[in-house]
Amino acid sequence: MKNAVEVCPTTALGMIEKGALLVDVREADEVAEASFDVPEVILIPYSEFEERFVEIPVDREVVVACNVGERSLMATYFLMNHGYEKVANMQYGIVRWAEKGFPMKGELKRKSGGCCCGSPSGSSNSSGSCC
Amino acid sequence: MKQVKILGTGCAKCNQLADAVKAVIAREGIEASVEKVEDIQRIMAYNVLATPALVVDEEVRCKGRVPERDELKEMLTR
Repeated sequence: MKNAVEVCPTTALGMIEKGALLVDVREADEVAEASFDVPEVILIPYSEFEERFVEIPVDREVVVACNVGERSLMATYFLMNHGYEKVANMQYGIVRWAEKGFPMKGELKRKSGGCCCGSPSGSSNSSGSCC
Repeated sequence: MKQVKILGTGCAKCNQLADAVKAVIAREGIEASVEKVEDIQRIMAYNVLATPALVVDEEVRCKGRVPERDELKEMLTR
């Protein structure tokens, strides 16, 4: 399996400014709290990604992002497995994006990772806490 | 001998599944090697988004949950 392309938020911002599509895979409550303020972003929560990834155009350059870059890396590999060739993961996610002072809406409170099971970090479910 | 892999990046549920699998293997005397796979690239070679996932002899038998003991036994002995 090929290594995923990973870019820092600065490079990601440059790609977005040149026309790349940002795909935010954080869950709805995370997005409601703070989000990327860029002209074009698709919101597909990680927990729905398997069903909804087809909404992402195959022929566009795509940057995938989450809170710290873990869920988005898995989503990036998932897209690669489905034939997407112009996809990159944003390392360190919106947390680093915010630290850099890049355009945002809202205020970021969750500074830790998200959950591989699709839940935001620190949330709990019937099977116990996650990540 | 069965090759069992637990896919997950190390969250509580992933550890729960690993413990449950090891317990069933010990209780039922199943001959198996168990490996925890935490590397994202290796996990995604199975194209699994929802972790934890259980792989038996390179086949994904379960993903995104921790099955009950009886279901696990069936997955491990099938």
